[in-house]
Amino acid sequence: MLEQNLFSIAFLSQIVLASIYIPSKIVRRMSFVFETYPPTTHPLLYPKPFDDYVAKQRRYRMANQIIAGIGFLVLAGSMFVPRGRELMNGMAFLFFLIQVLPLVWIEATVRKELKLMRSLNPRTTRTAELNPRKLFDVLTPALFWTTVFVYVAFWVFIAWFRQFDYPWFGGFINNFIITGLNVFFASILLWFMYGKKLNPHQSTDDRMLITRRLATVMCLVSIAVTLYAVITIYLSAEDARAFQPFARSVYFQVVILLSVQTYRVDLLDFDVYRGEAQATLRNGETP
Amino acid sequence: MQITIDIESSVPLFAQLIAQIKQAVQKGSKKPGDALPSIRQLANDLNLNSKTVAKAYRLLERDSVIQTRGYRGTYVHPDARENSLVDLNELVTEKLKSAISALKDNGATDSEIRVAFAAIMSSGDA
Repeated sequence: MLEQNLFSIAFLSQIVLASIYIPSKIVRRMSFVFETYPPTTHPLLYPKPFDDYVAKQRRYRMANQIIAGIGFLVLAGSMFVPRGRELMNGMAFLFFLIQVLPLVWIEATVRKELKLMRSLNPRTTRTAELNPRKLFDVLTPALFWTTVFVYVAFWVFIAWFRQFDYPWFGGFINNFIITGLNVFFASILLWFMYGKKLNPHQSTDDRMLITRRLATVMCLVSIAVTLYAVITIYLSAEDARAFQPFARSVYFQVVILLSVQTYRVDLLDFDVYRGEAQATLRNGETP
Repeated sequence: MQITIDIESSVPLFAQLIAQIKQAVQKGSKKPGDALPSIRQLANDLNLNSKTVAKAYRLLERDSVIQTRGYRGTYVHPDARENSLVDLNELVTEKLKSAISALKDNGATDSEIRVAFAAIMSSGDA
């Protein structure tokens, strides 16, 4: 009963955080950009008609409101439906996947916008720094070595845990999963550091600011994933699997909070988007 | 230190890169021993083909303006400041002018000079 109550509280928090609080912050950020850097003064920021962006903001807000509504219905229904709470436990992960869909959609939209920006870029000059970018330019040594320490400690933990011979324990498979995730995070970071410049107008300082933020997020998520694996194994060993849905929901919320940690938008250089208006696409037109 | 290239300029892109890196060395923005970005990083930042950047780096290394230390990266050559003032194309033109002038003073014709030049270049004797 305690674990069910804890999970209900965590699930409520998950709905509020991932479908109400964070989306409202993102929507406010969009509004700030639209009002402070409008297409009349910063035409290069809007390769499509301005109404498109306002519509996307509206759609994003509505999608999150609908998802939040579904979440509240599920939570309320679980109180009255037989075995409803057990069913809800299983749904937490599925619901998390649904909650991140609007974020994934926004990210995919941004990628398309950047591609459009590149194809419509009126400038013929390109600029680059003549200095190499290194890992510790974007990541503090303290955070890097903490992440490495947690990873190594996980190997030690698994090696120690194997002595208990639990039939459900996957052994070093856990390490391979964590290693795979860390390799994935490192690949994303390397791509951001050395990959193609997606935004043709972005200044070098802004690129470094965004990359620094991403590097920090990657490290913190790596640490969170590893700690979650330890907690899950511990709960299983202590025969406390009933608490796993609660731990899972808390973990999702930590990951979401870390992932959307971002930089202050007013620190970015928006002067790069001033200039002569590029050929803006009309609705339905392709470049 | 930033470099800027113009993709619509009549000057080849690799030549623009070479000129700007040499300029950075001459101004002191890049000192002997300073690291330069990798070919991949510079190519991606400028949205150029990596072969263009590789060609620029190759020619700069030939002129001893930069030096590559394998996996450790690319650095400004210790004598880069002096070497960056030498323009190999100008040197080649000057030497050829001087040699052709001397040959003509000795009575050689234009076609004789062209035939001999082509033969030497194709035989690889020079």
